[in-house]
Amino acid sequence: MTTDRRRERFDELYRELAPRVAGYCRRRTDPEEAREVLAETFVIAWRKLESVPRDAPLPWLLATARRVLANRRRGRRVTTPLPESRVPDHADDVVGMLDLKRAFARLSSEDRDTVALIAWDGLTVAEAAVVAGCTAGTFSVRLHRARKRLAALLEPASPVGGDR
Amino acid sequence: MNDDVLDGIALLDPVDEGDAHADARAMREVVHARIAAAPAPRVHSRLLHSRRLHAIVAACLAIALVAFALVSLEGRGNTPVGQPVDGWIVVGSLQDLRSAKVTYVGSARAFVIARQGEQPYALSAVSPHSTYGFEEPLLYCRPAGQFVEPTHGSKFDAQGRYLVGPSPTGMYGVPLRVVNGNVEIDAATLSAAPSRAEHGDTSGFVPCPAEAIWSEPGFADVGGGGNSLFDLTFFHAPGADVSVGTFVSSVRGSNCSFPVPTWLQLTEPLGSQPASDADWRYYVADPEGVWSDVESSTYSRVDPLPSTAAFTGFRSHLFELWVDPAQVDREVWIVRNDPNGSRIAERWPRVEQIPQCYPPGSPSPAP
Repeated sequence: MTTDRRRERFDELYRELAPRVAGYCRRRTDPEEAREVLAETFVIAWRKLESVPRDAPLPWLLATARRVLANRRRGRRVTTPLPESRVPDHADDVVGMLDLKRAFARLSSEDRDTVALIAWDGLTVAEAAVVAGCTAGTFSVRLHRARKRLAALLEPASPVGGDR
Repeated sequence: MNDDVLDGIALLDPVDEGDAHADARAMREVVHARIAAAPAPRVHSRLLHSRRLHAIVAACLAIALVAFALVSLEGRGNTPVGQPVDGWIVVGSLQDLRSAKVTYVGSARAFVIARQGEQPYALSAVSPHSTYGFEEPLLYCRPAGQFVEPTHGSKFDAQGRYLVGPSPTGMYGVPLRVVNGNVEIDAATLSAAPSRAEHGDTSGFVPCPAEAIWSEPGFADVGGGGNSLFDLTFFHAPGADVSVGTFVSSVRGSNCSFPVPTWLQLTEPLGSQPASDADWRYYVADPEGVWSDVESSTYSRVDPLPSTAAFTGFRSHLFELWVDPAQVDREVWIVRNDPNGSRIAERWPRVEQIPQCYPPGSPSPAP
């Protein structure tokens, strides 16, 4: 691939997918670090452009962003808090929304991320599996369990699954 | 749960689309500046193939290398151990590291392996099975000479290659260099982890002993004080590529804060990958009746095993899984072969759901 074509493809990738990657990063860390992770992810994408799948580049980019985040946390041992949701305060008055928010916050970070990849990042199960680094079958099971545990947490005085 | 709840979760999304677009716009120039400063990727052009340019580039590189070496020689003596310099952390002298064989570098969360007669190398102490927000640590199990992920049971050989467990790959490598007899690692950079398939034959695999415990940061040993580590055991059939979808057991229920109960998850058919939760079968051993939804009386020691029970080929260290195909909907048997020669069999009844933990402060189940 010539430099011009590389540049062209990279610009197209950035134009189309940088906002999605930025959103993924913002959901998982503070805005300042999210921007840094976004930049680092695309610098890696530039270096490894030949490895970025042409038919499904988003999961590759998100999986890279996930690794960049993990690398940055290494040594800091940061436990990421659940980001504040954008749901306006009055939404808490909506029946069930506050419960849902609390239940979601009580899920393990692994369960939250499993659900978030689908509900927030808008990925399919197959795409989310690439980001999570597992097979689609395994991710389906994870998602099913996370949803079951979320459902259990929405029941009064309900137990939390002990699968970890 | 229906999709309404997922829709509800979608409403909790903390990110505004406008912010994400603003981030993308704001970082565009930064990204291009960093790309411009980064080494150019391989480009096939007539210019780069010209001999004259090759000669100029080679001369520049030689000058730069000589200058780098001189600067390194001058400053190396003052570089404190453990302090990063341009991303590289000085771990210690190669001679000292060779005498230790495996060294845990806490500040970098990495292991340096330096054996006599071998090139030293470094591996990340963070499991490749780690998921977002929860970095699973790895320990080096001295008795088995392998790396273990205590939380979920993945195991890797001394080269970091995948042996068993739910990890999708082998361990991540960490760049290492030796400068004037000192070993340095670049913990901020990870190299690609080898795939599971790259390991090859695992028939000689000897697992880290189940009684091994956390002995010091980064290491597990047998004996002495410390915390129990090995909550999960992955059973495997000879030659089988085992994953969490195959056969999982919690040897102790400590992740539920219960000291005794244990459960198994089996796929139906045994050893297959689950397509959904419906493909799992759950079996429990709860001799003290801690879980309220388990009939503890149905768990029992068995001696001898029923004549209809057959060994499945699935084992984990001391444990074997035995089933009677006609009874697998109701029960399985776990046989423990102790090193002292004793053999204990237990009947584990099937339950409809995996036993549940209860969060602190919530009403606990009546024993």
